[in-house]
Amino acid sequence: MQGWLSLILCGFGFAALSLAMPRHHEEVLGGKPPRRRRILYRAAAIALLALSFALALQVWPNLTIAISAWLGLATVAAFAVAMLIRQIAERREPQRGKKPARPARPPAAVETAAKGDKAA
Amino acid sequence: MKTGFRQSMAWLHTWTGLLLGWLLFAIFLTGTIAYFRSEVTYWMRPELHGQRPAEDPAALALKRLAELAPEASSWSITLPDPRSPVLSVSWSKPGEAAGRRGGPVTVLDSGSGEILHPRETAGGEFLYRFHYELYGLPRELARWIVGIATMAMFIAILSGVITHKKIFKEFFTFRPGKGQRSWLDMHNMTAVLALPYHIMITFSGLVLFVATLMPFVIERGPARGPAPPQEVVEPPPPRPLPVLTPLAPLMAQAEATWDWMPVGRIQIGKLDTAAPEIVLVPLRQSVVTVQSGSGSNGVERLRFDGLSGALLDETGRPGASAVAKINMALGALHRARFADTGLRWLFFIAGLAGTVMVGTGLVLWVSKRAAKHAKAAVKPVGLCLVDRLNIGSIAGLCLACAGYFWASRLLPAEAATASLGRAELEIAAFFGIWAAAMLHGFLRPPARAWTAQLGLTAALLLLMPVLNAVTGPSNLALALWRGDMVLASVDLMALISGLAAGYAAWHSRSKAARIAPPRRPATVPGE
Repeated sequence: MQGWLSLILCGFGFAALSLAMPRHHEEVLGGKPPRRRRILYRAAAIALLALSFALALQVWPNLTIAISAWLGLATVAAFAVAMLIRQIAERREPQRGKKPARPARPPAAVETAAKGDKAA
Repeated sequence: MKTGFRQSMAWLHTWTGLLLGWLLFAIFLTGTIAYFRSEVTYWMRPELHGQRPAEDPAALALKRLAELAPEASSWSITLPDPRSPVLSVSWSKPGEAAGRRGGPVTVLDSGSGEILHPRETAGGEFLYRFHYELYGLPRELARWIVGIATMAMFIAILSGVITHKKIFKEFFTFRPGKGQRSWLDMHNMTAVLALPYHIMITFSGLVLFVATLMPFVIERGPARGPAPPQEVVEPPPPRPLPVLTPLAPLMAQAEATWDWMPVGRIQIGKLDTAAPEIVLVPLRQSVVTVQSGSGSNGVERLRFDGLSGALLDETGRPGASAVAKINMALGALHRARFADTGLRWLFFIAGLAGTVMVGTGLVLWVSKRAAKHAKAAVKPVGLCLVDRLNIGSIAGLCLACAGYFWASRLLPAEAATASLGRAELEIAAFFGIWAAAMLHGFLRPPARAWTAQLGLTAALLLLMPVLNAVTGPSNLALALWRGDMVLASVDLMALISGLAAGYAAWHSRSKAARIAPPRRPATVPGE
């Protein structure tokens, strides 16, 4: 039970961490995060991850084992967050249109067209 | 021409990764499956399925040992555990040196105590040994080869972190359906999300090979004198079996001593003397800093007087130097010797990430260069060679592993030829399929070969629960119903991997379809 809770908290921790990163913030919420909010997200991430590790220590009382187990949990949680971000980013993409930040190369246009075909 | 630090690291990453990538993929895949080697071995021996364990298997085993081997000088009982629901016993006769495992192992039905005759199988043990000793090569040579591959892996990880330094900025990035870009994302993501695991498993793997790779660093301990002359023991006159103290209270005491780690093995020695003794061994080691020699349950022991049940002595975690402890911890971490089932899954997932990382790295090498030569009429020989070797060593190995599971169940239980035992036949099937897949990769157009091999792998994996039901007494539904989670989880994992392989096959097929008509403009130069 505590193991699952640890995993979930870890997921939330990584989600907060991703919002503190400009690139992922833009994908999920649009726009760059203001400096103060970035610090806030990062603090929340650290707190959640620490809590998650504390719970892992409850499940595996030996410190060395707890560390290796928690790193495993972190891998799974981070993977879930990455998949979630991709889902959200894909939903947002059609609304935003072309990204101005990247130089639009002709292949990129073909790529988006091909993806549009697939989605349809 | 820039030849900065990152460029040279990129060069190093590319070429160490490519040269040993195929071997590393095989090491990663078989090693990852080996986290569940006792589960795999159990799945492969249907004679053991469908047992209904008794309330107290230890007492049952004792009763059966008294019937089977009343004259023995020592008994050994391995109890069913969550990873391998098998009750087995062994014994040795008076006058024989009581080995660690005693005489030949007899498997008992954990419910009725009947003797079971499971088939001979190479089981998960083969995959486990293959991942560090390969097969059919002299042991030292094979360990050198794998050791060098491990070193290359270590170099590839370190140079990779420098080369793909964007991985930390794009920590959670995966963009599918974009050709080479997606392969790179997948390579980066599987690398960075399990990076602590990759470093740990590679470094500890290197440390485990240290005796092979640097034989001169091993400082021999105090030289062992010549073995004391074996005392010639007159077999004592047969005496009636001593009445042993009940086991249950001793086991409870042991579990309390070991922080609730269950007892895994019971050894009863000196049965032919007036002072028999009972030794209890924990199921797993509860700390990482103890010696975890392959196959043993660590070194913790509790020794009891067999008649009164009094605790005689306790061998625990011997004091060791910090260096020795780190060495033992690395060994234990690599072998996950302390891991319960939940933790084992986490290691398994991280191992899969490593497998995917190596596989996508190999594919990436090809797709990067294919993009460069997309317009050329004749592709470089090296590119074609790597492209085709990738098929056999990635898809082909997956196919061989799936086929190995099938061989273990389809070969008749008594199958053996004049020169090969049953286990060797299973291994021959594994390598036969792998070799055929390698050849197939060179004969067919690459895109089609990928689809065919991945598709066949998917079919074999998805049908594994059916194979299990048809060739054994139990099946997935029954196993779930009875709580035989070991059997059920192998079946379920086969289904999940089958779906993944099917998805990969479908993906490669649609890619092949896109490439096939030559004048479709949809083929992106990036692919």
